[in-house]
Amino acid sequence: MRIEENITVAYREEAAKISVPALADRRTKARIERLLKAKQRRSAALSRRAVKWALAGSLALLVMGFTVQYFVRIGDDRFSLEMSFTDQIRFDENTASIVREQLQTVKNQLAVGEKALVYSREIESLFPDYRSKDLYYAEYVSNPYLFTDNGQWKERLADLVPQLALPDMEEGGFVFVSGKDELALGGIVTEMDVAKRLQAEVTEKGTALAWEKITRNETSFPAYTSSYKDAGGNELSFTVQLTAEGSKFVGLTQAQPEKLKLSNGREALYSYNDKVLYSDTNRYVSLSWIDAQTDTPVLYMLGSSSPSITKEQLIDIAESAVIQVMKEKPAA
Amino acid sequence: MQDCELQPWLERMIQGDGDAFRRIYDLTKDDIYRLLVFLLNDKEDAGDVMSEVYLSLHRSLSGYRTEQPFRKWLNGIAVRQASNWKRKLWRRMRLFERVSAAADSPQGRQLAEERALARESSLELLALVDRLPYKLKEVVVLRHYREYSLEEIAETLNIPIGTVKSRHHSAIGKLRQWIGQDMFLEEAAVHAD
Repeated sequence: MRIEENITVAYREEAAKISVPALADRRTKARIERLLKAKQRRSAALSRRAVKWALAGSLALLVMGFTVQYFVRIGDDRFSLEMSFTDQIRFDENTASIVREQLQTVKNQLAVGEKALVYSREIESLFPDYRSKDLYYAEYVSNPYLFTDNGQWKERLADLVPQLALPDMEEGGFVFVSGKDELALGGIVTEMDVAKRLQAEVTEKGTALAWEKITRNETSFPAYTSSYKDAGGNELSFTVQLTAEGSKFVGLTQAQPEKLKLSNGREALYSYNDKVLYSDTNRYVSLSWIDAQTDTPVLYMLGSSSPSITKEQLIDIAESAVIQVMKEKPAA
Repeated sequence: MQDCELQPWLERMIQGDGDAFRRIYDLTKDDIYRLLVFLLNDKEDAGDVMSEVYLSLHRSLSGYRTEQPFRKWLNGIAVRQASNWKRKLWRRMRLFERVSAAADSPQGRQLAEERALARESSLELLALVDRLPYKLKEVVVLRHYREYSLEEIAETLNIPIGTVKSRHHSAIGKLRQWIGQDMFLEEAAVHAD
């Protein structure tokens, strides 16, 4: 035998004799337990040091384990946003409409400021692969406080996001409707233990719908959304979300995302989706871009469920915010 | 152990499920421990580094892409942690603590004897591999224990494939030379008798 083959055989023979000694096993397990407990205490499932997979966009679910045909990414190591295409969601308009009603029913039972997770047979039918993969999923619903004074809201945003660059909405004929402290379409689901419980209640006990209020002491990635309407009744939302350096957001979409260049080469992601659970029209267009020039990278998102809002309109509005930033500091 | 056996747990672990993390640990610990033993040539060091590997795994989950083979990715973490261990000052401190605790105790003396016996019984060829400089040894371990291709080794160690080839060539050359010397010495001893 050649020496290389001899080494391989020797390793195989030796490896068969080796297993983890009890002391090393106990020590490692103890360190893992301490780590998991510390993580639990921090409560935020998406913390700076832990897993930072989060979802931006229309579907608040984790994409791991699903076949992703391709993805489009903008950003760099400091912060990045990916839009992943998937066809694993069995969307149909009737079921989506029932789920929307269910979410509205739960929302009506929430006091202002309260949030809940919801699971039902219809939700399960939209995501059949989840349970077969032993994954947990639930829908998020909230009844946020709405700020209706535009001046007050702008001041508040300026305090919360010092590097804020607001687009010029008036130029596009939009007027302010309200502001809220969350993403345009709600929030991301991070309470996997609650999701697991609700899923079990529906699938094992046969309950038609299960929901539970959730409390969050801290928000990992605070988001602020301003809603606008134009004279034709078309709505448009503008969200600014503070992120953490080193994070990666993953958006799951059934639409094909498209990477664009804004002024000064700044990258943006455009997505058109006509299978959106949270939109009464089933449609949602969005444009996202990043300002990663400060310690806290900021993710900007423009979105609308109105059928007449075009990609060009979104780009024009985004440009008005980007130009504002460029006046203060050049793009990286 | 195939990646497909880990897959259901892997997905849950990435979602933040503690039970799934524990399960992944149980399913992979022996495999990782063996790799560390071959890289570090010390079972106690391997035990210490093993916990670092799993803590690092927990921290690195955000960088894991599901299309990557999980075991290879985990092996990469283990190889990096083994290299760190060899560099770190605290390794010396841990060794010092261990030696201090064991010194003069009957168990300490017994441990030293056990180690000596273990070395004696280990295959001579692997003992020669342990004499190689670490950079050459890690290539040999990945190539002949893990049976990785040269491309896979380059990817795991994050070095050019040309460097992998040259390290492997150099390692095998040294081993051939040492084996030749040993045979010569054995033969010389026989003739002397």
